[in-house]
Amino acid sequence: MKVGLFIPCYIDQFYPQVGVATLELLEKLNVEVCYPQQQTCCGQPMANSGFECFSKDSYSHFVRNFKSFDAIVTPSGSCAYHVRHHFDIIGQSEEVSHVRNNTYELCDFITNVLGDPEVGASFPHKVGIHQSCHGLRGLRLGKSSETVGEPFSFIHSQLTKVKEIELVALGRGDECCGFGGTFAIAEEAVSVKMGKDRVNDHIAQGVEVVTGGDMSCLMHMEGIIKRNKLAIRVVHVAEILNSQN
Amino acid sequence: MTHSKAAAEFNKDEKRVDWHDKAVWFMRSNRDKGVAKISQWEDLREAASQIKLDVLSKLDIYLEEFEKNALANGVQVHWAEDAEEHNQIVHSILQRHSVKTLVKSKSMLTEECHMNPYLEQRGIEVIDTDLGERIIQLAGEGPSHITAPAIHKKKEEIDELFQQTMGTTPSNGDPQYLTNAARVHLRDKFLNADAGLTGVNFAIAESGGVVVCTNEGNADMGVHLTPVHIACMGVEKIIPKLEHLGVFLRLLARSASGQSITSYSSHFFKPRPDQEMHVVIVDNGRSRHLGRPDFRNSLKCIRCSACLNTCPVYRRSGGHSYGSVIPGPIGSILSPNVDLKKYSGLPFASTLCGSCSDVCPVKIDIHQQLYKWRQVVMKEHPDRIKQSTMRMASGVLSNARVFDKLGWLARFLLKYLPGWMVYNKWNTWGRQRDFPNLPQSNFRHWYIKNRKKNEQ
Amino acid sequence: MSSKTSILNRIRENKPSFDGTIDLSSFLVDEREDTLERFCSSLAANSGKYVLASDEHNLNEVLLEEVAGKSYVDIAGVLEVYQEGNVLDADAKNYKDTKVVIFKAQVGVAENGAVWVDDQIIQGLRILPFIVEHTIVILKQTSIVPTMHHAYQKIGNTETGFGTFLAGPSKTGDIEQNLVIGAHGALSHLVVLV
Repeated sequence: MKVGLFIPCYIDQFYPQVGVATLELLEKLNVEVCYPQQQTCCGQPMANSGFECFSKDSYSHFVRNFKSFDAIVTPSGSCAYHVRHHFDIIGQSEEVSHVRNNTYELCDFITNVLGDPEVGASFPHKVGIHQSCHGLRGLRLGKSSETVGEPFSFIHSQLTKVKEIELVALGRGDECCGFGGTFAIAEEAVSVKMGKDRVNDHIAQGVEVVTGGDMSCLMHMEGIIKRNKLAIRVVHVAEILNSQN
Repeated sequence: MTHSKAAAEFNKDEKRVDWHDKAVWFMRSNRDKGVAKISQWEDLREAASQIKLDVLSKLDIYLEEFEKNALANGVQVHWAEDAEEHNQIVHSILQRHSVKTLVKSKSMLTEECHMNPYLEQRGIEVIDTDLGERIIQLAGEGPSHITAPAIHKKKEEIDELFQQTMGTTPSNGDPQYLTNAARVHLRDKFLNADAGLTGVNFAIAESGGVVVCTNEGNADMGVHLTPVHIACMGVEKIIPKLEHLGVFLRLLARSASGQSITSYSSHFFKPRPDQEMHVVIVDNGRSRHLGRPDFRNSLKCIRCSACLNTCPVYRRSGGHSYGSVIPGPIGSILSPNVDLKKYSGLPFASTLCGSCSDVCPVKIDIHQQLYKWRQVVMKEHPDRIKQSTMRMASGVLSNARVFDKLGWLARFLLKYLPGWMVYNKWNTWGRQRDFPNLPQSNFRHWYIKNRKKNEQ
Repeated sequence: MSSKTSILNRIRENKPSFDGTIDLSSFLVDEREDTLERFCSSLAANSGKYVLASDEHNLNEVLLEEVAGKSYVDIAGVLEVYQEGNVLDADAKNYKDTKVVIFKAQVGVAENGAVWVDDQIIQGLRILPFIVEHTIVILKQTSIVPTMHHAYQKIGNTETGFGTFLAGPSKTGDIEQNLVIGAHGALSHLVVLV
């Protein structure tokens, strides 16, 4: 299986270590992975702002770059969700369908496509999981707290296998962090309040490290943590799964 | 005022925001406890959704069936195109009966039609009898929530209000005392009212009856003591059969607050022998909304308020910041149909987290509709600055070289510009958040340096 | 053109199609044995009360204790001792000082502690369950069904002019979420199970 690695724009620019960790992790799991260098963005920023019309070029560009891979893996639930659900406004050629149906968030890919192998990671810290909304309720990467059914969570199941990790339950297990893309700017007051409340929930439970599958959420929470000089940090799940003793 | 500005105002008092958030979250968490007791909960939601989809597909047929059966039961049926006609119809019924005082139970439809001021201007005293509605009526405000209209008010504020309007003695916000005072005050109104008006939770096509659910008993106290009952409903409140109520009455109260059912679920089929009963069926833009394929499913709504209770934005901005009769997620997808320009900001008052869609008992795809309304808003009433920014972004984000160069530039500037240039009042992100630490290079260059050579 | 015609025309033009089927039969499957327990705990959760009466004599005792010193209307006609002047008055307002109403219900619902009360049960005096301070319902244990689906099956295509599912005393949470029993309707609700 040939896997194309999609690195979200903000990870490429601000958090390359997450991209590195994702790549190294996949290589460790014996995946034949390649990073198409002409890739750019999944088109979310324009589309979520109401300008879907301007994101069509990004969509076509994405498909061009990834059509020849069996699967596309990305350390971002929101990007994977956007590709799967919102690439419906360009012509649905075989290539487009193929790309849409085979784009995976990282933990989803490891659990369900790779057969849930051991990743051999070790991370001796108290960790709180931030369940990013697009992944959770968009891609159903876990059961949301609102629905009735058997609980499950791909990110949680990957992290329980990490040695020496202590996973901590939160007061509100899957409330939104308030990033929401341009919402973070357009509704700054509520966005920050939501982020503060999420961070405080983790702090109240004694969490040292907040992790999640979406760096955008973590970036927003980190901005608040740094501004308020709080004794807690954020680490993307790819970095935890790629960590060693 | 836009939601964004109003919400920013609301957030100036952080303690109050925390209090409001906790109060509304309390309803959400009670809902969770209540629904967990029904193992078939997700099947019930699916059944409710299917019933409502069937209703939308045969709305005209069910409405005519309802009217036929209601008429046969001695109920008078009226049709109102819009809010103005609704108000005229209600007024003319009241006028015929020389009504001076009308007691009214909760009806978001009558809020939508601005019925109270219409009647008051014509010399009719309108008494809202739901305690929450009465509180805001006395305070001269509109409801901030669909099922808990006064959820934004603290008990001490209600105490002050009752002292001023009902002459109660100061009680430090004692809920028992205040409720009892309202009971006595409103009992007098019930016993002396000339007519009773209710909303409609569900109208049943096959029997021509209407169902009204309350915990307080105020709808029944109003209607059973007066010679005239007027029930007002939006066209979409129809359900086909009595047995379908089994589904909806199991979903409604649990979704709202986790209760298994409200204290009273009253089914009105025929008027008392000494009473006239009227049903006013209202369109007011609903039939137009039915014609929008992307948005018509919002007409499935049963006004349970679950989406408000779960919405992290609603809880931290309060119902009044939406500026619409119905606030929160459902309000944000219904209001643009009423006035796209006025409510153009509402679809953006959301992070699209999807929690609303997951709690909706009739499975309205609320967060998908919010996304789609954004596209409509930007097409019809584009924000010019946003539009040109996004057009530019589109160019950048579909061209690897340009993206790479601009990304480098952004990181360079953020690193080397003085703090006051980066963190200033135009930098909205930076008001309360720091920017991320800046890496030496981006992933692309790392890959070229460390892996690309392996690909040759 | 009348408003009715114009509204219906617009609906006909705009309505979507739907070809799904609605099948509620799976909700009628309920094999649980603890119907009575569920009814009682649901009723208690609604701030209602229940008591089991062992026989007719015990039922009388229970009711007499409940109505002691209060004006009441016994529509069920159970009490051996009738209060003088307790004739059913057609004028609803004349019950404003009545403290207690007693009636018999035919259907109780386990999942929510509700009982179905209709015009026949209260003899058309619709105000009675609401205007009094205390409602007392006599219900046979064998009349309790598991869910609302079963209840509607029993009620069937009722000919009644009015009916309500009565599930507890009147209440409100409108004063800063504090639960207060006794808003505009009854202050207490008791089901006597026979």
